[in-house]
Amino acid sequence: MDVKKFKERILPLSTKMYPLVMRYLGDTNEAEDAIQEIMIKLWRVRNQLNTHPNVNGFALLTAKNYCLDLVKKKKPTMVRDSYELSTLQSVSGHEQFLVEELSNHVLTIIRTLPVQQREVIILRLVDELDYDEISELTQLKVAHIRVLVSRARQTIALALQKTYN
Amino acid sequence: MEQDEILIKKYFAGTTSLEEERYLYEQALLQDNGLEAVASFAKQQRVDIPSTLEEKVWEGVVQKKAVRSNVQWKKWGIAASILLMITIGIGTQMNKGQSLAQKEALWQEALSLTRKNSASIDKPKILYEDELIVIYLSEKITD
Repeated sequence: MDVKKFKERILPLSTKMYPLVMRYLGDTNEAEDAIQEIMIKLWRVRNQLNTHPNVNGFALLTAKNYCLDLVKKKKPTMVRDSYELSTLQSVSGHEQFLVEELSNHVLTIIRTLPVQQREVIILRLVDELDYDEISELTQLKVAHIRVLVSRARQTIALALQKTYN
Repeated sequence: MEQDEILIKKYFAGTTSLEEERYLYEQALLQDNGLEAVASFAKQQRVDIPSTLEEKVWEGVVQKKAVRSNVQWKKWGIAASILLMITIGIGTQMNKGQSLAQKEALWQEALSLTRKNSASIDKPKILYEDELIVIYLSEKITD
């Protein structure tokens, strides 16, 4: 794979991995730095990427592993749970307050889900990843992931209905 | 309307595409199903991706690669210099003594001197050291 092909095929994955990297690192500068390092890693294995069956998934897995390494190296106080979401941005105004409260409520429900459901629903809902990409990241089959997502959505809906009815 | 209902069923079955899910969140179609909060959550958690992200990333990749290759060359340069110095040092050490030919020539020279003075030789005594041959032609010490 030459520079041109790398820029056409792999570099655009920067935008795909950005939400995931941001969720782990929580800082735009750190996220950009991390994506540069991830791209250097991918550049080193560019010839293997030509024949890889799931390049997007592989790139995202590389990103996830890199972020986990970074998080481990940080001070204990800075460590985030791999499923923990970034802190909701502070907002002002009544409407924004309601939005924040709703979001916090969803987050609370997501935290109560079983581990696999929690992981796939966050990858789908927050990181907006395809099922193939989630499959590469979680090493689960797509059909299984769909079932997990379906169950998670139903559980969330039920919990919300109970609260707001 | 019917299509929206099908879409919601697909959503709960986990068979919607990402585009369809975005459409559901944006159109507030999940409100009746108690999922307004999910739509809010999805929208709020959405990260703004910098418009120049790809350019910035590539710029950084090129710079870091260049920096790293320079560092690599420097490391190789230092390693080569050290190796060269060690080689020169070992070579110098090995060539410090006289060669066999030189030793042989000196030995012959010494012997010829003893032959010239053979008349005055009392009891020649030859001492061999690593790089030195001492031939005493006489036991008497004269001024």
